[in-house]
Amino acid sequence: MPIGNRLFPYPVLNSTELYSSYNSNCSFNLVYDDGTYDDDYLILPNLYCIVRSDFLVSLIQSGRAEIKMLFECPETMYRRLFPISMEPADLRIASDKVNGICYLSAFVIATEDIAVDPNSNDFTDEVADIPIVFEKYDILAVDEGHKHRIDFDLSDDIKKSSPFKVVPVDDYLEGKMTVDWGSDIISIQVSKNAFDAYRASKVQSSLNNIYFSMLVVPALIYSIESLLRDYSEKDSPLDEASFDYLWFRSFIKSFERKYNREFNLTTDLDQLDDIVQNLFDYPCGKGVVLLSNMATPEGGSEDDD
Amino acid sequence: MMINVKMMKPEAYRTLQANKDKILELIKSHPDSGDWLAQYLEYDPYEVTTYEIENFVLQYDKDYETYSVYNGIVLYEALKDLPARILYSTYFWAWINFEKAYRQAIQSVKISNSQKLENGWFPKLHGRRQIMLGAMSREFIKVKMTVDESSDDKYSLTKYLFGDKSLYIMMMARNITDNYEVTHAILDIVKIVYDKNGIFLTHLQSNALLKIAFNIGSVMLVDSLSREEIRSILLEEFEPLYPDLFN
Repeated sequence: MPIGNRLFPYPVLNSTELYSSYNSNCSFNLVYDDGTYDDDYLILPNLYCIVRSDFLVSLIQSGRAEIKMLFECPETMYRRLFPISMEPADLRIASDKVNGICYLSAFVIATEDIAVDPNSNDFTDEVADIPIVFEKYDILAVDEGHKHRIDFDLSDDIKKSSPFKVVPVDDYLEGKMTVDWGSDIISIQVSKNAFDAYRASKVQSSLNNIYFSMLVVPALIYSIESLLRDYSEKDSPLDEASFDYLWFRSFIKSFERKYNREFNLTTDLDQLDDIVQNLFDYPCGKGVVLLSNMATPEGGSEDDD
Repeated sequence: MMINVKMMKPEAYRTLQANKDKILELIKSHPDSGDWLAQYLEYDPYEVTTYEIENFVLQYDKDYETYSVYNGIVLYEALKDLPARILYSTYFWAWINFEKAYRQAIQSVKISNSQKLENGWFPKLHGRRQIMLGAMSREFIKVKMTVDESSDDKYSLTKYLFGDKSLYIMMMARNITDNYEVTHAILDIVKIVYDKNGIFLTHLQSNALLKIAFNIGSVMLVDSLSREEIRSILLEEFEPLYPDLFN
């Protein structure tokens, strides 16, 4: 339930100061250490809320308000409200309930109707002298926008598969190849004849360099460029694209392992053709040599005959 | 008998998407069984997971509505304990549609063109909306949204969601309906009206009811409220709009 810039008819302490009607020395923040997950639990360690408002702290301590955290996982339709406090404690959620992107939001909620002194030192002048009554369940403070991505490795459930899939398209002209990417894999679409030929020969690992250079390298370059073009207006294109696309996350991880540094959107994108080839150990040139050797099995050139 | 849960292989899934016109043709020429799929692909379309479920068989009738609620409950009972990463995967539901509920999946979604087939059987995106709209996954979800494990008659609300398609579509639009206290409270009102008048709400009436439900969350944290509290607010605001439904 995104609060965003929603207007409330009474003062609300919002972690985004722009939307807050509390003084700038007041704040409300959900805090926790990096989450981990295994087959049993998603664990959010040391989770609590920092409440810097004497007014709200007094309401919470007197039981007239309470802190709640809403955990939402739209992909699995899991939505649950957890009571939390101002003291750190681990939160555990059964792993079999969640997958994909999860959103966390913290709220202070009134537990009863409360008549409030509008001249509290915590409120901005805008609300001074205006009678305020909080009703039971009203939202008094909010910190939203925390999100996690949970990707269970299905390799325990089924064998792990490559993020590239070559698939046949019945009505494709001979020789035609297109690329289509979804959230998890990149599909390389070819004509039925080409697919049959690929399937019959892909078991020969000696041909990997040829297939990587003809299919995978161009497909990956195209997909990365298209995706980053789509995300160019985002605040943090790399992070957000990684968050949304499994195959792009794999690419970024491979890049960081190979280059021992983070991907730089400004400089590395210009070198993408070289980077992608490097990740696959330069299959293009090797593929050409392999094809040449296959054409002249004895290792010599046709002119030698 | 226990069976292993399967998921469609990603390459098979992508092949169906890339050839959806042909797949529509093949489904129409094979109305009884999806066995043709392996022959078309020339390989086994599925991979076997380590998860087991009790085997289930759905009922079939030319009129889909005859068994839709029954089949939804059978699906729910068979699948409800699977982990979310399987249960909310479109690869999993592609297996259900093609192998376990083929004839019912054909009836569940009107596959008048290949785009509708793709959306219902092997959607491009993976998410809440795709699962809620999927050919057979929608039937599972309708039961999940309505089951009340604390009640002696735990499926007492189920037929009301199956009976009102527009209500389900409108509920799908808002994540708040993942809170089943809200869903059950809404269906409590539908049930009151149905039991009194023998009719479901019209589209306009459903729309008005949901607007009230969604507005509860405008300043309140609706997740804090109980089903009874939500139902009371809904009745208080909905009844004056349509008093005839409650006389």
